[in-house]
Amino acid sequence: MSQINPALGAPGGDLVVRRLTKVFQTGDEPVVALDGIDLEVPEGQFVGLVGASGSGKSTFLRLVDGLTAPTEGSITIGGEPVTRPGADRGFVFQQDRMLPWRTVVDNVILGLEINGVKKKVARAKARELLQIVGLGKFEQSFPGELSGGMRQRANLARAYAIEPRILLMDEPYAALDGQTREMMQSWLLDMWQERQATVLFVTHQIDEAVYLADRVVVFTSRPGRIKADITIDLPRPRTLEIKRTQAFADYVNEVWAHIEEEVKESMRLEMEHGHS
Amino acid sequence: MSSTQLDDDETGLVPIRGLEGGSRKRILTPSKRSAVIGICSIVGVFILWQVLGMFVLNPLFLPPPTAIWDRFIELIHTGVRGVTLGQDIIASSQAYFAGLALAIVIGGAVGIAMAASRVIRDILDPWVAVLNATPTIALAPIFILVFGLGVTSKIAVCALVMVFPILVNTYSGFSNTDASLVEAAKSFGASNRQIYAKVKLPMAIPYLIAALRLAAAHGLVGIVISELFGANAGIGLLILNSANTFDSRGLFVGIIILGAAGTIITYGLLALERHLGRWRRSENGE
Repeated sequence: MSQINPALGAPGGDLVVRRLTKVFQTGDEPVVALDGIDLEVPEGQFVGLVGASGSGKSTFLRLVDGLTAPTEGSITIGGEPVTRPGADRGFVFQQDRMLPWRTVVDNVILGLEINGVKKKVARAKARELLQIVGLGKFEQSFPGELSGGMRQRANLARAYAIEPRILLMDEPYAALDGQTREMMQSWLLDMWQERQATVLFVTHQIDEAVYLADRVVVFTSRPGRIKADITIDLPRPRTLEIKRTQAFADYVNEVWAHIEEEVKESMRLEMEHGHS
Repeated sequence: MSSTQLDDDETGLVPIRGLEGGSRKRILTPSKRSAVIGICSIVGVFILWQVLGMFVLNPLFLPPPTAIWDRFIELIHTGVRGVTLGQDIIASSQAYFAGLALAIVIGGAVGIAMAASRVIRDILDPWVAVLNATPTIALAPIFILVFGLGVTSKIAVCALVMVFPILVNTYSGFSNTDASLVEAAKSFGASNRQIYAKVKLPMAIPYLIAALRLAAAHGLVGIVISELFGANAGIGLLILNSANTFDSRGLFVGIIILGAAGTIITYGLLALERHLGRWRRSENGE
């Protein structure tokens, strides 16, 4: 699959999550972040994950990436259990997490470097991606010289560079301004259409989830469970115009209806226990 | 759309260039001016010293620079008791750099281990705190008793005074790692070794350079003290012999060599730090 390194772009396959539970032992009492999640994602599907804050969406992504181990339950990709992070999955954190002492191009090659790709080959690949995300002129800049939006584009290029079969995105556009966000969304859709990787996309923006995803999964707040699983049957390729259609508005309203009481519940909890 | 806006930000440097071009009267940048003033200050003091040394001061206590220079040339060619200045410098540097290497290996390893393991830190922390607060140079006589008068005890004393600044700073550098950057590397499947090489070590570099600067200065004290206790050659021995024979010119040759060595090492490390930390200048702009 990968032109860069056969070790990368591993076969992938369907993602199957069974009775996934995660309990955090912080402070006095255990916090159940996720409680018995069952989810099947066919290879190549774009899934939007929404839910009030504290619904364990980020924890879910971290579990799928193998950054943290489940308390109970299992995660398999193409039948193989997930035990640790691997080159078949790319994680896009909300904060760009660029290494400040590395130039932009050397940040983008980080994942390739870690997976044993020669620097020269990796840089060529990174330059290609930086062109696509509009940072071609900034490859020799340091992250500190870029704006937040530019850094986040570099961050996406870094996750994309390893050609993951599953892209895990944790509110990647939350810190971006509206314009940049829309640009990034359409760029992501183009890349996804081309690569057909599975995407799990966590967002607080319901319209973003509906616009991007084949399917929107709504999480309940503490403990995190799946409340609704809505198939978004809008034609592809999608353009920004689709956001003005009635079908789009209907989907947004449907997701919002599921989420509304969760948000209220989560706000009530925050009022009681203070901000977390 | 937004990228063109950002392009404009990049060209924000242009007006600054315009400013510089406008004020042609000021030839030197502020940093160059500071350097010129600094050099003038040193040269001025030497001239003052020369004049006072020739007419006012007792040359036994403060010989003028020209007399020290003459003695420097003598020491290079003939030396004292068959040991030339070159041999002294080589003898001292060998012990100094051997001690430094030893201190880097031991201090670095222990510092990293303490940052990596809570148990190791808890075991060693009280000892490090006590020994770091003790003027370890006072332990020099013990080393000379153990290793005898020779290069081994010199290396040991140097390593002893250099190891603690290196250990403590290495520990700080490796325990202040940004966990989110480590996690980013982990998400790509980085091994422990890769996390050290690609994230933790580069993050610790400012601490490690500070460690070397401190250690370098301590080491110069260490080498002189160890040689005062006894040695066959070395700058410390030169200073001791010169003092014993009322050769104040020779004494100053030794002192100036030590001062020059310290200055060169300090500025060399500062330059290295500036080179490795050039990304940080870009961050200050934000």
